[in-house]
Amino acid sequence: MPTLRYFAAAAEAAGTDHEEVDGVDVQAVLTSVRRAHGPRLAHVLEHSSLLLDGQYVRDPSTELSESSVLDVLPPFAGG
Amino acid sequence: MRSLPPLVTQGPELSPAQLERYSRHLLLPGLGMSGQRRLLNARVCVVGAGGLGSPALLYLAAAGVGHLTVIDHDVVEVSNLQRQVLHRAESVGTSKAESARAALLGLNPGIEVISRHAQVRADTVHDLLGGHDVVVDGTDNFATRYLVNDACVQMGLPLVWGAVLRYDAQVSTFLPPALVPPAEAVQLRDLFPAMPSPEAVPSCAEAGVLGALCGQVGSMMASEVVKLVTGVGEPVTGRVLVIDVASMRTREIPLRPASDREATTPHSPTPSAPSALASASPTEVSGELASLTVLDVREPVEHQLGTIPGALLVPLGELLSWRSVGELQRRRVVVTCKTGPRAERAARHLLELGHGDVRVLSGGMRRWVEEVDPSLPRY
Repeated sequence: MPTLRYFAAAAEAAGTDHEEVDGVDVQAVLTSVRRAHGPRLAHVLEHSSLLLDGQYVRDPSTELSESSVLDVLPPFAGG
Repeated sequence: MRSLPPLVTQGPELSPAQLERYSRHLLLPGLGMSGQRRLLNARVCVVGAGGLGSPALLYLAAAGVGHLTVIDHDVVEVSNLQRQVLHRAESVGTSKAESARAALLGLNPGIEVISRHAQVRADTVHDLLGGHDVVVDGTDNFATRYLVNDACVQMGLPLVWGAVLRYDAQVSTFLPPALVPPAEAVQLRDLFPAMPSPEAVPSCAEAGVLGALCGQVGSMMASEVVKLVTGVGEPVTGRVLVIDVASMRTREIPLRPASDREATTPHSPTPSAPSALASASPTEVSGELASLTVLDVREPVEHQLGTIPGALLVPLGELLSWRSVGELQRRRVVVTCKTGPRAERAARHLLELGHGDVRVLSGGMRRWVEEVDPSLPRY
């Protein structure tokens, strides 16, 4: 199954820093984790970057393989 | 490990005083005499003398970076001192850039420090950053971060980038295509292609930050600069270090160029302007309190520091989970936070849920304290 890795506020909202989620594409996986973790994660996902094996995902229909790693990274600007 | 050639050529031979001062660097395999001469010949620009800039600048000055430029348009505030370790209590109220310069020259009088009490803007950024070997981004807002990134990309300047919030941090070094193969020449827009709206993401002023985490990350950024200048080791490029100080774990995210970056990189970022929200000044709110419901969308600890009489505490995260406005439907609502962005986010959510009478307290609690109730603490 594809692996999602959650960082910072995304990990807090998901209650875990990674999980395996069944789904053939990015959209399917996101729908599934929104359902599982509720509106707080949905809100974080709205603003986070999704990186598939290091590359920014623009298209939710991007296909995932068994070994895909999808990183969920919220932006922050503090310095 | 893949190292890069040194960015900077060697300066003159070291004087006896410099040999003594930098002896621990001279002993380091890989850095040594030639590395120290490169550091003394380097021109490094640090944007922001705050939480990240403070430790980065201290270590860069101590390391003998010969020419440091400090850019900051703020003045030192009491609430900075919890993490901005470069500044002293007696500097409160004075220019941060100037306070930084004085502190750095006190630490190392043998280097040149230029202070620029200036705001980085689209029309000034190239002049401010030009002529340096490396730029360090220690700023505290998205607009400046994208300005600095885009200017570095246009000018082919290496950018050491870090950001902190609460217990979390991100660090990376963005290098231009002249220094690394195209597949590794990544930049901020490969990580976050478009500038997030400030109201979508809290700042440290709103959400807090662990002071010592700034020291950790600023030190990492200084190490990156020293490595780039001297050619030692492998910079954190093509990957982003994500630090969670609460669990004291560090993870890495690989980073490759975004597939259609060219099409999406504007020359100067312009945040998309959301439709205007109705606002109310502190005096207006104070006069209408009896007929209003004030929602304080800050965190409980901020609420405890003092709020508007009768205000209801509903932290932003909780409010955003609302699926209806319930009893508030019939009330005139004013939303407040510390300075405004969270209140705007909350107000938009209430409008989306169908509430018809929502305003934002203009200037937030900051302005309320100034104009209505000076007895409350500023934080």
